[in-house]
Formats: sequence, structure tokens, C-alpha cells
Amino acid sequence: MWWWGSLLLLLFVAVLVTAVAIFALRTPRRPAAVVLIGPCGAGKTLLFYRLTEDEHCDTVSSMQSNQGQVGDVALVDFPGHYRLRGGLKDELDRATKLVMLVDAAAMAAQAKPAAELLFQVLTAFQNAKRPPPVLLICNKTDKATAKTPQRVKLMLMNEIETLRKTAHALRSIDDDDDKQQPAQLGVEGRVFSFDQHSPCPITFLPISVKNDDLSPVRAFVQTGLVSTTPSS
Amino acid sequence: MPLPVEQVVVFRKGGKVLWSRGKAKDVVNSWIGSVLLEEKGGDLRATIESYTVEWRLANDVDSVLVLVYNKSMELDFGGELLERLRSAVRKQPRELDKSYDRIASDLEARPRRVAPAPAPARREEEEEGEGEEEDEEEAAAEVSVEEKLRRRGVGTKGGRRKKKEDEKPTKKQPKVWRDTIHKRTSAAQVAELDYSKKEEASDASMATTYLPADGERAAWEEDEEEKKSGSWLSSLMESAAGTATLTADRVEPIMAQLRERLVAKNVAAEIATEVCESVATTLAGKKLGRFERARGAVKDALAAAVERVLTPKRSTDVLREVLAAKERQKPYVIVFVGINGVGKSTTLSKVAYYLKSHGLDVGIAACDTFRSGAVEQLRSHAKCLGVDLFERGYLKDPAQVAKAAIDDAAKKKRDCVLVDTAGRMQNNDKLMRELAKLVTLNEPDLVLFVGEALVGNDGISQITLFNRALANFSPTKRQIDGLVLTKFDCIDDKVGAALSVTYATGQPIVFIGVGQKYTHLKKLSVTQVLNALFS
Ligand SMILES: Nc1nc2c(ncn2[C@@H]2O[C@H](COP(=O)(O)OP(=O)(O)O)[C@@H](O)[C@H]2O)c(=O)[nH]1
Ligand SMILES: Nc1nc2c(ncn2[C@@H]2O[C@H](COP(=O)(O)OP(=O)(O)O)[C@@H](O)[C@H]2O)c(=O)[nH]1
Ligand SMILES: [Mg+2]
Ligand SMILES: [Mg+2]
Repeated sequence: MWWWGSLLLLLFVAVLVTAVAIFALRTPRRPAAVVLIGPCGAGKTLLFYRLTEDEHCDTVSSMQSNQGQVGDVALVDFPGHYRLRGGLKDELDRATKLVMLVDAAAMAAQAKPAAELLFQVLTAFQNAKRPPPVLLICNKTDKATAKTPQRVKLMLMNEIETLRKTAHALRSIDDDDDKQQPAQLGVEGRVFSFDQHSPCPITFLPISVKNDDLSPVRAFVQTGLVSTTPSS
Repeated sequence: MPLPVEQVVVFRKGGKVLWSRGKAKDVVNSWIGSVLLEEKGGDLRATIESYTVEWRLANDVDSVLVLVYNKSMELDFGGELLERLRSAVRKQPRELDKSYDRIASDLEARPRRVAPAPAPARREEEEEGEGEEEDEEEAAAEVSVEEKLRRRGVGTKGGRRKKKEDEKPTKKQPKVWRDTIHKRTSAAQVAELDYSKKEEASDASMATTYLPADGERAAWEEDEEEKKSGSWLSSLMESAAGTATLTADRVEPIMAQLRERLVAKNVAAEIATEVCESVATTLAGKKLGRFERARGAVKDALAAAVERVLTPKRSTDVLREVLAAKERQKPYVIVFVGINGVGKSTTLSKVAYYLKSHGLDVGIAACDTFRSGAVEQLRSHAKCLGVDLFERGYLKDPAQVAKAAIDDAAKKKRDCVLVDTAGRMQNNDKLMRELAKLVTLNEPDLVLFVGEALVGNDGISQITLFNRALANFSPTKRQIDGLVLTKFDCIDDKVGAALSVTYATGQPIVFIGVGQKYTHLKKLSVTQVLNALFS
């Protein structure tokens, strides 16, 4: 029965190939994308639809992310609700650039959640080889109460300074947490500064997503550069 | 007369509004946060502030339909309106304005309060006279799927939670919105049973009732799924072709198994049922992706839902809050409440140790003036910690003792006051009143409910009754705003209580206790709980 052997081998190879194919197809790596983040109500979803479909749509709180294209760049709108924060890590893993929005007209309410999010993001990229650049949009400049980017930056910096002391003070019993210390943001004993200590280059951009021309944002999404750089 | 509704809105789960009438966006947004994202979606109806919200999901088109109206209204047509609108969303998504106007004028023409339902057969005749016959039939078929899921309680064996009181139709005001659903269900059921009526029923309805949906497999195949590689392969082929759709019937047995597993991990039975039901409503009708299998899809959806419930809805960084209070130069007050022996005093001491080790000036208030030995126990903790104890002995009004302690701390410019309270059973009205008074009088920054991670079904009644008592007995309606689970070191992988308590209250677990030492205080790891529950 000489052919038994080769039949078995053939069968074995076939099974192996199928197994590999199924494995590869079942756990698809998320494709690289530009990711929109920010607290609830900052204007991410409106920005997403303006960029991807050139549409001014009305919105409610997002329960899941939106995916689309800006030219040939993939764009993801990651919802801001705290309860969905568990999905952030996967999105950061595939982010080539980040666009973070805050409602500059509601900083009293947004500074804390925005700083927490930004802290989480910057900590995640602390030891990364190629941390993505961040465009920080200070949105809703059409409103009279909108804070200037300088002011927004200061408020976020202060909050992050507090978080550096408190966020990792109580260690959770995360399995991977216990083995390795979470990366420390900034330099021990020095006050945190975006310009000196952020692993990701951050550009602040005041804009009204509702009313303004979005070409600086579009440029960032596509090239990673911002034509007008009003960062202080 | 226009329909007395505040808003009807159709939106994508991603947040884009597809169509809307009226204005109540804040209500819709808070409904999304407090109902949908907390997996309380099984009931299709909720109260948000002074509004009633009803909804339907259209999972095949990734959309949600929501109706908001004033709580004082007893609308009987909400379900019908949404279901007819849902068929319109599927058929003519661009013509929703027209469809809505037609549905609304139908409903307006109808008398508001209808007597109890007529016989199913008669009902069918009526429907034939209406213009939207097809839509209605389709809607009816769909309700029957949703209702089927609800009635069967997603596989609960006798553990089905009883109908909420407010759903009981009273004689004076027949809540026809519920009757409508039943009527429709029974119409579908009659059609199912009565073969002589076969020809009378419309083809569309028959097809949905009897024929398997695209990709749906027969129940006998389903049972064998695990053992027979043949059906495994066929389901793989099917999913490779991307034609598979999750139907309620397919979701149900899988969900029932997952529910059993949750219960085995010490999730309260009632909570497991509610979460599973809610997730099931988000799955029915959903298309499976390529190479996605029903079991995997259901499990992933449930795991994602549990993750959302466990993930705090706000920051739980107490140290940060205390530091912010320090800047405002006002002591931050935390009250620890719960039943006897769960670890309130121990947790309080751990928190004192934690805050003190970050350079904060902490004071402890001994407001367990009830159990003998409680003050002495706290005194020895305070001594050990090197922290000041404020005490007034026993049999004093704990609310007044706490007030005096807080005033004293403010004078001494302390950063934080930790208030220990007597353990009490949730059904002891006198003691609950006393606690409500303490909370009302002192307006603490944080009311922490301390419970054991070992609790099973009884933990839920503890916590909900504590909350209800606080709401009933305090004019400010201040409730528990954070949870502590102690004795996490004693439960191995039976982590279910974490899900039960967060689901029951919607509040975050701020600390967990993992031993008797002061350093045995940690944050909850959501990842770890998920692993314990699902792997
Ligand atoms: N006035 C003003 N409102 C805006 C602007 N951008 C967004 N909004 C509104 O802010 C609300 C929240 O926007 P949304 O995109 O849903 O925020 P998201 O939660 O970050 O996705 C919506 O009502 C938007 O119309 C803006 O530039 N100016
Ligand atoms: N193993 C373990 N024991 C705990 C934990 N928290 C409290 N205890 C023990 O539970 C018992 C009751 O604690 P106590 O603070 O007096 O409860 P109280 O009546 O709620 O104030 C004590 O023996 C504590 O040592 C914990 O996280 N793990
Ligand atoms: Mg959004
Ligand atoms: Mg005690």
C-alpha cells in the first residue's frame, strides 16, 4: 500500500493549510487608520461625517465606532463614552495618527475626562518606537465661551500633572500589570509639559467643526502635517 | 390632533441621526448612556427623568428607533408606532417623513384609550382594511420573535424575573401598548397553530413564520453543532459565503449556555438573565461577518456587553478627588455603608492608609454608635495608622457625630474625613432611616457601599434595598455612588458578584479588598474579571 503514506501526507498538509487559513482569517489584524478620540459631545462624529461623506449630520451619543475613508486613508471615530473605553487599546494599536477633539466651549466639564483620555494615550505610547502625531482640536470656536488653545493646553497640562501622581497610585491586579510597571509619563520630579515630555508630537488647532473649512484637518489626516500651526 | 410625543428619532449605532421629529436629544443621550450602554435594553421601555422612552432595534441595518414622551402620558401605541416605522426604515429609508406622517395619522384617527383587546381573529380582519397591511404583518411577525425571546427568558429554567410592577395593566387605565404586543403575538400564534386558516394569512407572514431565514439552520442541526464536524464545516461554508444571519432561535440556545456559565461564576441569576436578554435583542437579525460563527458572535457580544457594564462610567480615582478637594480647602467626606461584617471598618482603614501614604491629612469618624466594640476596634486601627479618631462614644445620633467630626476636620484643615457607620440589614427601616439622615445632613462627597465578593443572589437585594431606602428616606434622594467589594482573595475565579453589583446599581467598583492588611486594597481589573468569566 505505497499510496497510503502519500495520501496521509496530503491529508495532513490539507488540514494544516485549512487550519492556518482559518486562523489567519478569523483573527484579522485591524488595518492601520487615523483614529478620532475625545470626550462625549466634543464633535467627533460630526467631524467624521464631514470628512468622509462631506455631510453635516445631526448626531446623538455614539454607541459604537464608525469607520470610513478620507481619500485612501482609513478613518475611525472611536466613541467617547467611558463605558466603551475598553476598546481604546485596540484602536491605539492601529493608529497611525490621532485626532483628539475637545469642546473648548465646555472645558469646565471636559477638562477632566479629556485629560484622562490623553493621559491614557500618552502613557500607552511612552515607550513606543513610532508614537503617532496628535492633532488636538479645540472645537466649537463659533461659541463665545470657547477657550483659546493656550488655555485648553494649560488646563489639560494641570490635570495631567495631577494624574501623574494619582492614576497609578492604586495598582489594579491586571495580570500584565503586575509584572511590568506601567510606563511613567514625564520625568520624575519635574512638572509635566507637552512640549518636553509628550512621546507624541501634539499640535493644537482651534476650529469650528460645524462651520469652518476643514482643510487643515484634512491635511493632517492625509499627510500628518498641519499647514497652519498655531500651537504656542 | 398631533400625537403627544416629544421626539421620534432613528439613528445609527455610531451616532448619526437618520431621521428625527421633535426635540428631546438630551433625553435620548442620557437614555443611551444609562440604558443601552448598561445593557438594560431587554425591556424596550424605560423612564428617564420625567420622560418615558420606548425603543426598538433594527440590527440588520445597525439602527435604533427611539420614541420619547412625557411620563404623565399613558401612550398605548408606542410599540406599534415604532414597529411600523421600523419596517419603513428597512423598506424606504429615504421616505421616513412620509411614512411617519402616514403612521401618525393612522394612530391619531384611532381613539386614544381602547377597551381590552378584541379576539385575535377579528383583529386580523381589521388589519386587512388598512393601507399598510404588509408592513403590519411584517411588524407582527417580528414582534413575535422579540416576544418569544422575552417570554422564554433566554433559556432560564424557572429563573425568569417577574414582570415589573408598573407593567401590570390596571383596570382603570388599560395600558394598551402592552396589549397590542400580546394581541399581535397571539395573531401570529393563531396563524401558526390553525392550519385551516393557512390561506387567509398573507404569504409574507407565512414565509416569515415557517421558512428558515437566510442562513438559518434547523434546530436538530444546531444541537449537534459541537460534535459533528459535518455541520461545523457547513456552517463554516455558510459563513465564508457571508450569508449567515443571526436569528432569535439561533441565539437562544447559545445564550442559555452562556447564561449558565455566568451563573456558575456566581453572577446573580436574575442579573445573568437580564444581561443575556438585553444582548439577545441586539443580536436578533444581525448579519454575521465572513468566517464568523454564531457561537463566537454571541459570546463576543456578551463579553463586550459585560465589559461595558464593568467599565466605570466616570473616573474612580479617589486620590485625585481628594487632592482637588484639598485645593478647595474643604475636607473630602467618604461614608462607608453596608451590612454587618462585610469589611466596612477594615476597608475604611485601608483607604486611610492609602491616602495618608500620599501625604494627605486624614481623619476618621466613629459613627458606628450601635455595635459594642465598634469604637474600640476603630480606635486601635487609628492608633496603628497614626490617624486621628473622632468619637463620641455609643448611643449618640450618628448623623450628629458625623457632622461634628466634619466640622472639627474643617477647623483643623484636614483633607479628608472617613465616616464609619454601623452595619445594618437592608430591611431594617429604623436603621435605614438613620443612615438616610446621616447622608442628607452631611452631604458626603462619596457614599461607598461595601459588600463581599462572596455574595450571590442576596447581594442584589441588599444593594437595591439600600439604594431604595436612601431614596425614600432622604429628601435629597442621594444614593450610593460607588462600590467596594471585599474578600476578593477568597473567591478564586468566581468573580460574578462584580458584574451583579455594577449592573444592579450602574455604579463603579471603586476599590476591591484582597486581604486583611492595609495594603490589600486595589482597583478592579476589568480584564481579569472578563478572563475569569469567559475563558
Ligand atoms: N456649535 C457647535 N456645535 C458643534 C460643533 N461641532 C459639533 N457640534 C455639536 O456638538 C454635538 C456633539 O457632536 P458629536 O459629533 O455627536 O460629538 P461626539 O460625541 O464627539 O461624537 C452635536 O450636537 C454637534 O452638532 C461646532 O463646531 N460648533
Ligand atoms: N480575607 C479578607 N478579609 C477581609 C477583607 N476585608 C475585611 N476582611 C475581614 O472581615 C472581617 C470583618 O471586617 P470589619 O471591617 O470588622 O467589618 P464591618 O462590620 O463591615 O466593619 C474582619 O475579620 C476583616 O479582617 C478582605 O478584603 N479580605
Ligand atoms: Mg460620537
Ligand atoms: Mg465595623
